[in-house]
Amino acid sequence: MDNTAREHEFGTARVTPPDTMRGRTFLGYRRPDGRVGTRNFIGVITSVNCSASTARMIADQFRGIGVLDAYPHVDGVMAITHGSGCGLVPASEGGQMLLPTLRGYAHHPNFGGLLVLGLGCEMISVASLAEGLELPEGLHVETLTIQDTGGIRATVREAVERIQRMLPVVDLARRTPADVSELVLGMNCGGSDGYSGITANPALGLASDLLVGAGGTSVLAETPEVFGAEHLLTRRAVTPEVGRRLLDRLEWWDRYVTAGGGTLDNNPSPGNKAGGLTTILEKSLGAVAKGGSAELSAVYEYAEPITEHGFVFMDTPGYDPVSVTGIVAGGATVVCFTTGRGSVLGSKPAPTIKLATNSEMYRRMHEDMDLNCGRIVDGTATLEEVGREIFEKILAVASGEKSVSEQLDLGQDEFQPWQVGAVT
Amino acid sequence: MTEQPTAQELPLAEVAILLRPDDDVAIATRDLTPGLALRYAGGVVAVGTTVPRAHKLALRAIPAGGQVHKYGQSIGRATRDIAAGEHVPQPRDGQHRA
Repeated sequence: MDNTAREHEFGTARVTPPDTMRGRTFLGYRRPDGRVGTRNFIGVITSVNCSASTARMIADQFRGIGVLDAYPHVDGVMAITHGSGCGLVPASEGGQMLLPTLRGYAHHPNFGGLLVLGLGCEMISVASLAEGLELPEGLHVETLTIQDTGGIRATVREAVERIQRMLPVVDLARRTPADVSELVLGMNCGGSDGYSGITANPALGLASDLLVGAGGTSVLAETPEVFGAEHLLTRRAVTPEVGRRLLDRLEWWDRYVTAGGGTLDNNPSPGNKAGGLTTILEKSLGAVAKGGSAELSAVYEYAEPITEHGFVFMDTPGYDPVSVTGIVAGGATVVCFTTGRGSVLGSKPAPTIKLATNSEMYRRMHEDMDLNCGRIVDGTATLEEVGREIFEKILAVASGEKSVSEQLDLGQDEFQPWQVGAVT
Repeated sequence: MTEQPTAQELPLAEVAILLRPDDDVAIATRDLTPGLALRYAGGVVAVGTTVPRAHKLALRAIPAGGQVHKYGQSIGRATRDIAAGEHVPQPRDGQHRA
């Protein structure tokens, strides 16, 4: 077999997915800006790495058995820390990428309260971060800097007091029925294997189509893994502009990877071929299969707010924590993650649902997996059955059912904004 | 292809995945050997060659140069005639480079 030429056409393969799930609901937290969250966290968000340890100390005061028992409607207090925020050129690509990521988390509907914490002398200041957030009324926001408050110990004491005052108010939030069209599903794959493209990914694609058909939003990402099949996505684009936006991002990647001394090459490896994959197109289709067949409504840059409903694409790297951080910053309230080798990722404040591609790994790592799509290969379930199961699981988890990564409280360390651009 | 009288007939879904109804290929979920006849909505296909697990089985004859569809999409062109029931051949290294 040989590859066919990749001709770029726009909008020639637009499919409207079935609307069989239209009208379905989940139980979510409706926020003052109209968006619906699936969790109710308090976030301690840092402007700079220099306040990261302090933020963790603050969040740690609210961890452990029984500490938040008086507030059953609060999911926890989470530190959002990172390795940057200063010593970077604000106008550089890196500076332009970090701020939207932090803003995206500060705006995330899964937070009911926020404490913005800085050191005091950083480039991305607490004031600019808090002001730039344009937070809706009704969200409790506190701001502190370590330098003004009198050092780490004084800051921890003050922050804990403020969060304790915030807790009874954040705890007043209640889940109410929301239309499934209010859900934003993020999709990612990691630790893929030969089964990813024939079990978990296409099954997730069917679930994505069901969500999109019901008016919801589903986000495909990981640009390097789409390389080779991008012309199939542009054919699904609702407008030529949307299609061109995707091609622009791929051209950016080509320059970015070339400047780093690499090549953007997703050709099947010898291992892929032994596993039954023949062409680059087939391999990329396995990744793109997560996106089902719905038309492509929009293309977003990393961490950009997702505003369109329907099937959309976000430009992220293939590295899992960085990719998922961008998707959640964009507003994803549930994440579905397919894995063959066995990823142990979590992404709070958004719950991650982990989908195993094969039964052997599922049996070995069942405590870290939410659903076994390997049954499709075993012949004990069909693609359609597993696709519907994933859809129902998404609604259950969105409504409050804890996924395994949440039972293990994962996601604080996995907040990893994409770091590119000039550092000074 | 004519079905041999000794062929063991099975539903295709028990031993292979058909990702989209109109695909030209199904993916074997176990090693397939000649002698099996696989029944699916499009008819019956007799397995003519060994198809390793996770590899592609041609459901219909594909002439050299013809498009091969999987995921409802063309994944490439056949570099030689492929018979129904045959293992879809793997490329030599470098042959398929885009």
